[in-house]
Amino acid sequence: MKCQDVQLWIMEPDNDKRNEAEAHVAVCVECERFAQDYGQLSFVSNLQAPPLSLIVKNTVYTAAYKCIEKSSYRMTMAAIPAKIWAVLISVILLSSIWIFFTAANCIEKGQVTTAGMFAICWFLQNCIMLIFMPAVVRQFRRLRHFQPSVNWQKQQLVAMDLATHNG
Amino acid sequence: MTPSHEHSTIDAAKRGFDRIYSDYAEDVYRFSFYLMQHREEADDLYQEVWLRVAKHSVKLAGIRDHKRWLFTITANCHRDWLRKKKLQRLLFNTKGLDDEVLEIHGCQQPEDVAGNLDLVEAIAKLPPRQKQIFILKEIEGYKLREIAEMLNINIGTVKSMAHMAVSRLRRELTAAELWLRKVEVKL
Repeated sequence: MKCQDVQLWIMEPDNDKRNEAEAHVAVCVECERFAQDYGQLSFVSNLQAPPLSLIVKNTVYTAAYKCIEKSSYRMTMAAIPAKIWAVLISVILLSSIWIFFTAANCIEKGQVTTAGMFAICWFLQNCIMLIFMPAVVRQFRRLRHFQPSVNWQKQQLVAMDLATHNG
Repeated sequence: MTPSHEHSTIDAAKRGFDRIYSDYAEDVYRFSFYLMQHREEADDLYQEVWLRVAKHSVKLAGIRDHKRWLFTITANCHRDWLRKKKLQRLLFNTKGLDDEVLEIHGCQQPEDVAGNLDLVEAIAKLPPRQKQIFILKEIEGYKLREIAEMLNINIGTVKSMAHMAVSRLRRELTAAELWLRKVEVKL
């Protein structure tokens, strides 16, 4: 066994290589010293971190609870309905066909006509709409579906009750 | 998904979170403290870890060993924190990590830690990955193979880093004559 393997064995002994490692340590000064030093390091496990402050514990707990509400709420968002997808795809297809013919006409004449400009504007407007539409749809669906959970409502009531009693 | 189903999902997530928070809050804090070596930064890391857990609380039921999972998240958050610090240092030329690490003596230490400041300082000086491995191995008592799984790195790398960490601590502590002092105390 190499010194490094023996030193790793010292850090995490197992029965398989015990004889070999012990024989090495008996004849290797460096590994013997490593074993002694490592033995002294064992008091590391007795080190204690300062206690977790109750304020931090409660603040983090409350923040995490709100985060669960939000993430569960995002997770349970309704999917975009198929008819919305159908409309969006039809709009993109029709406007693409229309712009193809209008652009071809403009190229043929060598100038951008009013119709051409209109087509470009229409196309850009559709692109923007198509980018943002799913987000808008999700937002509306989410607002319509979301109801706070029973526990959350209870917590709110308890908090209001406490606030009323405290004055 | 019906509203009642939404509620049951949220409630289940909260119940799962409550359970692991009451069981492992202290463990996560201890690990955070040893990684950061500074109380306020440990508080920040602790908060970051639990917020990340809260975001993934719906997955809690499918996790076998929650403590290991939490330590993995803590190690990842610590890595992200270091990256952010490094970026801040590059962009705004703020204090270096080494300078900050040495500030640990200024913070309030419990008596047990204060008695071993040489060791705490030596651990603080370890490179981040070596520090994570050393703490998980020596303080939290995990096996090297488990640490490799938790940190998602090769077992060979973990072994070599654990060895490097111990060798480095030996060097640091020998320089500080801590070994000698310990032997004298024993005698």
